Amino acid sequence: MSFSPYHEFNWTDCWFLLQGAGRTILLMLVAGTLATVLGVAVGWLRFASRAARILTAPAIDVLRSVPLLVLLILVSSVFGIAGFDIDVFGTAVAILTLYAAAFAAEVARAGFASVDRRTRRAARSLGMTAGQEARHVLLPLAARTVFPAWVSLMLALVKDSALVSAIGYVELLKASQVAVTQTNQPFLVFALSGLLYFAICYPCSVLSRNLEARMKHDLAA
Amino acid sequence: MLDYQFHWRAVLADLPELLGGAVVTLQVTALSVIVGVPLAVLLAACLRGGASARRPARAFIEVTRNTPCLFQLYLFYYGLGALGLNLPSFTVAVVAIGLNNAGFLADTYRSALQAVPAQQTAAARSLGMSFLNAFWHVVLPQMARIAYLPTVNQVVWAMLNSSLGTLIGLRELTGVTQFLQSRSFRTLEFFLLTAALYYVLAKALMLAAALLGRRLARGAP
Repeated sequence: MSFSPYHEFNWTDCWFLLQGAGRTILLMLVAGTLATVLGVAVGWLRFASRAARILTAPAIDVLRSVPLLVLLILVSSVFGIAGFDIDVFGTAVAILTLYAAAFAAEVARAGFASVDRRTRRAARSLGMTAGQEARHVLLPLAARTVFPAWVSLMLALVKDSALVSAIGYVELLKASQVAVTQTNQPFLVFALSGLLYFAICYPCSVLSRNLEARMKHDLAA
Repeated sequence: MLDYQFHWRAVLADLPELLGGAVVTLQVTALSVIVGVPLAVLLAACLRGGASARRPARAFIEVTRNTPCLFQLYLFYYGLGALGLNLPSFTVAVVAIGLNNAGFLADTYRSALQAVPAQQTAAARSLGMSFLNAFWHVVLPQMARIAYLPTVNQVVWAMLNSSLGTLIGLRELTGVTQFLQSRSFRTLEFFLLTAALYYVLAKALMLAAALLGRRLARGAP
């Protein structure tokens, strides 16, 4: 029997891909949560203050006009120069958070802007403090409006997380590359990982679309 | 971090090569739009048709929208390579990003198509125009006005996505930068300059689109 460096695609490879998918989901959960918190904070500042809007505009503009891959390399090289003792997961989370937050801030700002000023004034005239009004009136109404946009943002985050394979974090796409080098069956492996990505993303995009359609329907009614 | 010494001379000396990379980036962008936009119009037409046309179109759109663009590039580059179809990375980038554009634009075009009243086609047909003539001279110009802005956004996205070509060996702006920085290891300077170039490219595309858009909007009702 001739020697081959490759082995047939087996259940171990399959499990390896599933672990990669798990790390992709982990990235989405961690970076998604952080980006949402940061985005809502920045979005609120941009909504509430003109100065903050002008000050944060260049940063958001740049984050949205430069490819994520270039940002990834830039940030990891800055981390290296600064001597941060941070692992690949930390770097990946930091950059994905920053990138997604730039989009989340705009989503949040649009949400706050969509709340009718009269509703907010009515809340204040009922004796609510500014904090109470923000918590019980502004936030829930804004969250309702932008929820579909937020879900699409998380969907984009799952897809963007594929790029951190470039700095060496073994998420789903990197795992499939490794499996390809071991089995030499790229088509099979990529078909499987594509299926996994689809299984993660498709429910989110259906949810987002249905909610959007229902909201349009509600508004029309 | 504070004692980092920037060395710009080596980087600026390579500026002509970086600009050469930017030209490749623009070529990939332009060609991927030329592939993507007509395909998106076709998909939009399919979506308005019967089930046998609608279902495959819908499946294609869902797959392109729910898997990462980088995954799609790998699938075409390594996956097709395994089936004996070895395409150069330039072609793969154009085709994969082009298909990605089509998937993202199809739904927008469908609603733009829907917004043109059916009577317009009927009127054009009754004047003796063929179906294709009616579509080309009557429906398409009206559709273009509605779909213009989303298309411009997608063009900018395609430009940013073309940076992914680096990971399959394409020497576009990011790829050239990656190569040049490996000669001097001034990673930070090189990628700062590249980020600036991407920013300028994105803004230039937006500006060009705004000027073209004024021409397109002329004589609009």
